Amino acid sequence: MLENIKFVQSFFRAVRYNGIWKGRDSMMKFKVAQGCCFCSECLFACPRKAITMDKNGAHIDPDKCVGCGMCADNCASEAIVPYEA
Amino acid sequence: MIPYTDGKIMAKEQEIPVIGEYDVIVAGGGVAGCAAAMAVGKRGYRVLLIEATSALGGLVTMGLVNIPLDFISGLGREMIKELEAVNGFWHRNSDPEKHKLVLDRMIKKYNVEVLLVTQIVDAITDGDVIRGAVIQTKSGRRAVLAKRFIDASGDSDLAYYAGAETVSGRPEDGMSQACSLEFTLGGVNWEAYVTSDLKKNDPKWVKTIREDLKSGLLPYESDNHLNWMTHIPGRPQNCGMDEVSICFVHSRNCYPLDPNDLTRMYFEGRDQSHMLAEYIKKRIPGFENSFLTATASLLGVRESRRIVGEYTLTARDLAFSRKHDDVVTISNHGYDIHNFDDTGNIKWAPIEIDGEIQYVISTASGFGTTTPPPDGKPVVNCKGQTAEYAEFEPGLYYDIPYRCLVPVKLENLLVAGRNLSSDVYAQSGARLIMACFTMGEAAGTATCISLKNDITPRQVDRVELQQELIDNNVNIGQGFRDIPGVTDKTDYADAYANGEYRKEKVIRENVGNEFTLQSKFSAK
Repeated sequence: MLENIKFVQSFFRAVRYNGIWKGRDSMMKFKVAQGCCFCSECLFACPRKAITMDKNGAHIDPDKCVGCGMCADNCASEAIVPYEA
Repeated sequence: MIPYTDGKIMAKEQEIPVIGEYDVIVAGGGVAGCAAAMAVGKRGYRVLLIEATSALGGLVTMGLVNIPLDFISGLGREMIKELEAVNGFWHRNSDPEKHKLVLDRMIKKYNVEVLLVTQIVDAITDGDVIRGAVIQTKSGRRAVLAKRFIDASGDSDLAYYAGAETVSGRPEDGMSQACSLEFTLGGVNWEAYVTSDLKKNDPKWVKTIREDLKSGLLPYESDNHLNWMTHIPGRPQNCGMDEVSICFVHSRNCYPLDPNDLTRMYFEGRDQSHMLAEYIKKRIPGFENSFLTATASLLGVRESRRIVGEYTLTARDLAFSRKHDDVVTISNHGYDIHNFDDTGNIKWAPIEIDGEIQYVISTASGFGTTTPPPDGKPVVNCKGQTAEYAEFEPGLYYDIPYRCLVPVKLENLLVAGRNLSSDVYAQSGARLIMACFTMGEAAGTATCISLKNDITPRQVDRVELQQELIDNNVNIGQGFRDIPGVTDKTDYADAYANGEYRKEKVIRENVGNEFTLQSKFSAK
């Protein structure tokens, strides 16, 4: 049940960034640019478990990312940026 | 002539007026103390919060450490929401001025009585029970009495005066990790900085600092890298007038319980702030028109006197992301020591594994350590993997058990905040602002349970405490694992909005105990 709630909620957040109903071909996703301070807040914020950490910092799996932007909202060093995927 | 022998004088005996009697007295108005006091006031008990400076919040306001990191939940989530409502929170950064206002309002909302600019100078004890605190106010020396006490002073002042067992600094010489005085710069062209080559190629200014030390542009080295820089929310953004808060100043070889050393650190901190502000203006793109707007009025002391509690959180608890049945706070922050007597950060801990000392990092942040381990050894994770091969399971965090807040002596005292019972390595991770806040909420909640059931805080049933915390939407890991004996009633709809919970069964061997390592190292 909670899995369903999470899925629906991330969908609405994605709409906020992607404007799906405007009929675009591509969508916005998020990636980690430079400046990651390894605080791992993004990792815990991501509703799709798309983020892992290694020696270079946080990584967002583009296959799992739905562009909801929770990671960017929680990035203490403003290192996460949107891009056209 | 006043009689003066052996370097001591007799203080005069005096009667001290008692100006109040309460159910609970909270020593220290930082985030831990505010959370504790609000948790008590919320449940209808009479609580007094005593703070030595002129505002609440401690380091997050007076110290300009405007990054409330670590898990946000319970009253902490309410505080962040209030901050967002006044445009004072963005990207995990807070506006210290608005934060003061938010805390002032929340404290009133929860019926907490406050004494600002008041220091605790002694404890009134009766065997193992604290009866009251002696305080210094503008009107003179006074006393306040209570049934329960929470020491959220950061330096365990009240606990120490009451005779609690305490430790401070590292074991060999009591030296604390480096202290920092934060400062803020205005007039920053944030866009120019973020798009500059310097930010792209050298985001922590490591190379820049090294070169400029050689050339003399940087007069002396406060640190070998920029620790952090935040963009203060709610102030002009991306218009060439942005304001940032910077952690770069460091005082080393510190003893923050020594008044002479504290004074030294404030002088040194301001000197470094001005030196660095000038350097940054000359050197860093985007800062050409910047100017110093403030130096913190409270020194960023990261670690000082801690109690000895029923359980001492150790480096191993972090390294193995250990879980405890009596968890009251969780943290995702790895070791974070600002080097005691040299530049750089130590983000690893020496841990004995299989009879050998390994330098273990508890989260991926450890790879960013700017002080490598001795003997040329690499840092490894708890599975013995070095950087190239290391995998960190997503969502590693560790538990802070209730027993870390309960001192071994003294029957009606709890502590909350950076002074929890811990070793220097564990404390360096568990000290973040929102973790301290949650510890405060836990201590306040436990104190109320002890009052309601007429028992000591030590006797509080951990299931009753945890259930009460969960019912108030405090995150003690109930979304990540099943805590024995406790029913998860968290309101996920609200908590989920911040992505704080991912209800998954965390698959580990031996939940609640150290892992079985998968390499040649075996846990002890």
